[in-house]
Amino acid sequence: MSAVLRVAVLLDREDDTALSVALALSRSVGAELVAIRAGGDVAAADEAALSRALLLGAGRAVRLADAILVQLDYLGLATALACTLRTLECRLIVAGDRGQGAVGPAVAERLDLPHLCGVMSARLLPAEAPENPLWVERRLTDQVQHLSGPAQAVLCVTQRSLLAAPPKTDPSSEGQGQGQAQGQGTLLTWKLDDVGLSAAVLVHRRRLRVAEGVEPVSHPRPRCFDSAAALVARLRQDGLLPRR
Amino acid sequence: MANVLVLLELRHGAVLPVSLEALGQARRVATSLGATLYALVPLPEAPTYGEDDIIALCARHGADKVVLLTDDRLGSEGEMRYGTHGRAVLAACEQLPPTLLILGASAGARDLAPRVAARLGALYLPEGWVSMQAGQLVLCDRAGRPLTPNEDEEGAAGGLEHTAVITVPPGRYQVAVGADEAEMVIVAAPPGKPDFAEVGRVLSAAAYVVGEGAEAVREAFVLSGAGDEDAAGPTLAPPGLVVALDAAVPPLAGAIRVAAGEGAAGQVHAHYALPMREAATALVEALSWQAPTIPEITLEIAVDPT
Repeated sequence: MSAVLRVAVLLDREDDTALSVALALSRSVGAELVAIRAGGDVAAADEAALSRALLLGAGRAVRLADAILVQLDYLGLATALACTLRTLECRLIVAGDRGQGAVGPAVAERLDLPHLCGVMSARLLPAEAPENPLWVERRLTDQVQHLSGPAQAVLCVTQRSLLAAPPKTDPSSEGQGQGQAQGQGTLLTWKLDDVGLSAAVLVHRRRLRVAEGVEPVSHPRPRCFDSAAALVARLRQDGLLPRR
Repeated sequence: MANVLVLLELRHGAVLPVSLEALGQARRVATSLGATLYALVPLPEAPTYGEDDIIALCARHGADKVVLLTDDRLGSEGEMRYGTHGRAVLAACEQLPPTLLILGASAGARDLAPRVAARLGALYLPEGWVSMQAGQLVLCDRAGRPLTPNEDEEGAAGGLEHTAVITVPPGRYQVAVGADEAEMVIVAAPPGKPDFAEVGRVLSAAAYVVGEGAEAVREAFVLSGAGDEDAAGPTLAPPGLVVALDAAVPPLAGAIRVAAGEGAAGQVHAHYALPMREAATALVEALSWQAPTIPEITLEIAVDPT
């Protein structure tokens, strides 16, 4: 299994949570971890994130660079990332679930893979469950759900709370990661044509612009409750508090 | 004629209030657009006599037509996700190509909506705003800023070339009042293999605090020693929440906004408010007797000028 499985992590800003899950997955079966980040002409932030992934244990890091990438909506970006993942032959992908949380599911759509959002942790257990070796823990509204499924999927990892401690690194693997970064870890910069794309193919997926100079839209105020009891009753209806 | 679709989410057999609010705003938009409003209702099996109730409910809240989605996977897990509901929703979208597909912002919608949007090649606006202004469809991002297509992408539907998939948070929109009856349509999902299999579920509590008071709450959380932090994040027991809020609220003036939802920091999933600062204490007391399990609650503490 580890000979053919390659885990990818899609880095979006400071995405420690997704990186932690991806590292744990790749280490559990000895698979290579490839860190990927798409960006425009300014490389500094992308390269810093990718270098950090290499330091923590990724075997390769790929920066997909083109000016059009920063103008794209979720689906345009997902299309570019999916082509990169195909080129790298990665079929187990970990993505962040912050912000719009849309790129991960859209990558799954482009690669025709199953996906899960709200993922808290994941493990690969090929010896115990060869048919469905991927075990996933994900958050529902008021429950934590456990699922098993195929080893080829897109997992969208939920962001940690502000209250949560920073992700802990495994001291034993940190040394290994540094060794890879200094010796084996490689940071590559790819252009769109390296993954079989061109800006012309993606340009129709530029994201909407914020309208300037238009009359402001009048939005409704938040729903205001007269009492805490009324709010609690609504939270219960929402499924956010246990029913009596 | 344009189609506006609203996917209703059921939990414990009841429609979530946010789904009816989404239906209400969709009613107002559809009326202005001259579109037909369809309420999509996922049912695990073919409808029975009792389903008349849900059709009447949808009609009373503004639906022109009610589409009953059937698939044996729809009731297989506690909440919807793309793997259980995606095929049925896409089957409906194939039969009734939507100009707008609106869902209540929920944990399930966060999994389902972006994937459906991607399949449709649609715009995706999580926790977005949708309204009509001067006869034009206006879509706004999460921050409420109006969006406009790029110059070369303007199309017929409200200036947009693509279908738009939008989630709206609880509490944002009012429900609508409609007729007593609506036409019913049944759409069955095509057969397909399941992706993941549910192994189990456990109740899990967690509380998160974001906004201007977050730092004070975090400090109080640490100082009080409340909660039990695990790999998935902190579990803040109700007494800990009381201590934390007591520490955080006094420096703030005005009202507090309460955002309840998935708990991921920065992701506001409801637009609720309590009018006075003192209400924070009352809220926490009300929550406290929910022990031992408070599901994820995000309290966004912020000064509200009103």
